[in-house]
Amino acid sequence: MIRKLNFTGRKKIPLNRTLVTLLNTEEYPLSFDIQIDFSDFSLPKEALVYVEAYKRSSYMRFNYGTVGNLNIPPNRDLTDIEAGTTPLFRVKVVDKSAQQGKIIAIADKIHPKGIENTNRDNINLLYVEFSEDLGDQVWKLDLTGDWPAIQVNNQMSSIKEIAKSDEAFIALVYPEIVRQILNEIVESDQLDPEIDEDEWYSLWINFVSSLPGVGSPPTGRDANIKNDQKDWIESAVRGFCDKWHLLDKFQKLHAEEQG
Amino acid sequence: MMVKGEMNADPIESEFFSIEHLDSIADALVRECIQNSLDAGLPGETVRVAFRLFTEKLERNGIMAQYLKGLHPHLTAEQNGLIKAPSFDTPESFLVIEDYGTRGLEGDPNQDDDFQVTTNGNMKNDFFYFWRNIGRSKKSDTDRGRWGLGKTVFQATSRINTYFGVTVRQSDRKSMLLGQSVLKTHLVNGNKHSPYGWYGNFNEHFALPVEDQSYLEDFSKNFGLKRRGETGLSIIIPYPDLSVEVKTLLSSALLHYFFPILSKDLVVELNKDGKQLIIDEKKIDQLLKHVDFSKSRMTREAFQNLFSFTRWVHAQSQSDMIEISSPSATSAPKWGGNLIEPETLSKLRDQFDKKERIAVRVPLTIRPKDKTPQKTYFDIFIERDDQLDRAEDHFVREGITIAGVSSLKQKGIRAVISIKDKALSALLGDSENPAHTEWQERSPKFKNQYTYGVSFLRFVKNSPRELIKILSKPSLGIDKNLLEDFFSITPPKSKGSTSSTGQKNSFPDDMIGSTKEFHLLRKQGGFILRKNPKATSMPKGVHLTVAYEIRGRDPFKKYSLFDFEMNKAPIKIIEKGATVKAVKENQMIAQLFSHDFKLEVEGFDLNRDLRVKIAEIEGK
Repeated sequence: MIRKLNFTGRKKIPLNRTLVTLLNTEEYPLSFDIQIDFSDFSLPKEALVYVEAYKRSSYMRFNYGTVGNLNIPPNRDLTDIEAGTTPLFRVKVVDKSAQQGKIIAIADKIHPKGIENTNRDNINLLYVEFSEDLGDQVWKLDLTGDWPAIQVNNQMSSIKEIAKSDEAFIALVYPEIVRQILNEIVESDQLDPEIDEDEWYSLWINFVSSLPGVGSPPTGRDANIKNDQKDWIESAVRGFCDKWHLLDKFQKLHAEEQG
Repeated sequence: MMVKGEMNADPIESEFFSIEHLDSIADALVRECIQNSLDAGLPGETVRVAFRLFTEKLERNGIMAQYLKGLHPHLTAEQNGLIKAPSFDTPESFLVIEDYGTRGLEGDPNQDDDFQVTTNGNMKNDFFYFWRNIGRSKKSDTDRGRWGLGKTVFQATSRINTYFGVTVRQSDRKSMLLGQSVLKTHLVNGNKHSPYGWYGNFNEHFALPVEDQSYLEDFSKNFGLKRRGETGLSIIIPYPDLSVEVKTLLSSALLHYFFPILSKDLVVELNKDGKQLIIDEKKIDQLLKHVDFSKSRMTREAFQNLFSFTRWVHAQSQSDMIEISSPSATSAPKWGGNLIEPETLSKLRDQFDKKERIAVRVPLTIRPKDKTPQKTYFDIFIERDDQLDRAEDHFVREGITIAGVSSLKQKGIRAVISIKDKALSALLGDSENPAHTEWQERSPKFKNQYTYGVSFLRFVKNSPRELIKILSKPSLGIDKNLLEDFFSITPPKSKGSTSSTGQKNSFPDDMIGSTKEFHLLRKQGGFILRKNPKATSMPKGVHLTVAYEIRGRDPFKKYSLFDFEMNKAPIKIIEKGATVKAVKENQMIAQLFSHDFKLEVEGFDLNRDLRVKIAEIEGK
């Protein structure tokens, strides 16, 4: 079991209270606009508001005034963010009444131009990132960010359609995605299936545990645990393939092309 | 009759006529007739082309013998090139093609040389180039047909390789009749005859048209011509190929000329033995029911959707077009996102994503060799159709569809590429094959005529494919929902988490997690671990790992000695019913020996959130 203790009393600002729009998307550097709705949060009016843009190791912070008086900085160029990438954003509300500033509210992992659709019942477990940085690679799994994402090569026309519905791509890539993600979870010892919507590990464990013939991951400290976990990962990959009948689809596709 | 020593050569013009992209001779006939008529169109008038097929025995029986009597010995000569000429005793059939709204075959019928200037100083002589010339068209650079070979389809359509032509000219309103038969070199009564035979009046061996009004009236009546003084050209084809039927003519007219029909520049009439079909902008859709789609490249639905789309195309005015940038005028043109302003590109991509129709104007500057560069343009129209299981693109040069040109690969996309401007039309026309179905880079009329000519050709030909690539290239960024079908989960209601308004959910305030064996509770600056009251057994021990929360990172991997050490102040461990066996850095192992054990750990920084990992140690 892994649990968080919120000593700080920090409030989580839902993503649907924010809207980030990227500007100059065909040029470098990018710039952005953000709208923030603090109503009903009972935050001190004099608390400071900061907006941060980040992508992997690159990061920029912008001073947005206070909760009671938001002040948009004129220069919002994302000069320190890696070129060719799309940053995420976070909003921090900081109480500086004490000697040391304290984050009293935060919205994190804000994707630009995407209002979090809170009407959706489901949580999506794998994002797709269109990247120019893959060289000759078609795809790559990125687990360095806040949420698992498959990077696909933006240089390939129709890659969006391919990632969504090409049966060859689905059959050959997505089982391996499942394997890589579960390997990461096991290696990070993040096998607690108790749901925490902020943590993708637990969501993924619940997702694969519900696949045909898979079940909960083995945990414990006995000598065979590593082998048991490897077996569990392979059963999850098989379960995913079974659920989507990937072999049948791939065979059919191949037969059609040869015919 | 040939004279001794004259070169023996059989006509080969029909060999230039590739029907690779055409379904049949009827297809070639429709293309050629209507193309010629559109070229001869009078300004401001709708061109009308009527195809009338006569097959039934009517009171006209015997007219073939009447008008072809002199031809008969040649039709029956050996090695004349005919496979099996129909006898004049067989039921007579003929095809009449009449156009209206056109100027007719202008020019001096006495001219016998393409460098001869006529009495009115006009070098352009339709009459000469239609009747007396093969393969050396003097149509203007921008006319749709420029090879001078197209008219060979008339003789090719006739099973006796023969046709007549009656024209009424706009300039002088004169009517003229001439006929031609094209066979191979052959012998009649021991005399060698050249391939070309004529029907008309003769000045020695030079065939001149019949202009006698009374004769022409009889001729018109006998062959059912409807022209009553209107200017234009009527072609009469005796014994047409059996594949020439109303259905094949209809299918060809719809496929090759939907564009000018829907723009109301063209009306086609089909008639067989008095039964008539009119193909105009209003009726074109309902005529699809007469088409045999089993032999067509397109389905009925595809035609309907194409017509609907083309109506929209014709409704776009210049102000509706989105104009992109012209490629550089000093180098070979190339497609790329740089041709479209970012804001325009964003707008186009948005339209494309929403499956809205798109109209783009592409300006160009072409460079004919030894002439001033010319500004020109062409238009690309795109729509997405999910019902299309293939790509569909139509290149239309001044109303005629170039059937063999295609570059679009993406399924579900329909594109019409319209070239109306004369300068670009001339460049493309120069590259076309005689049947006007392909653009050929090595065409002798095209090669070396333009600087970067081949690049311009490819630029236009590849335009729909390249534009779709640019529009469908996804913007950089993240799509969170693309794979929701494969990778999503409906979470159960979470326990003990902070809700969106900052209020805690209704769970016991201090309980933050539980397993079968344990309950984990919060306390000021720390936590308490105790047995789950519902647990029926108790593990041997427990392994605790603690770390401060770090956003976006695994906190346990990011633990630092500078954060805290569990065996050092300010961290304090209080055990009851348990014995701490090992403590180091951020980890602790405790042995549990009582069911009411309680482990309390406190002293953590209240300004930081904490993460706790609890693992049971097996054994009794």
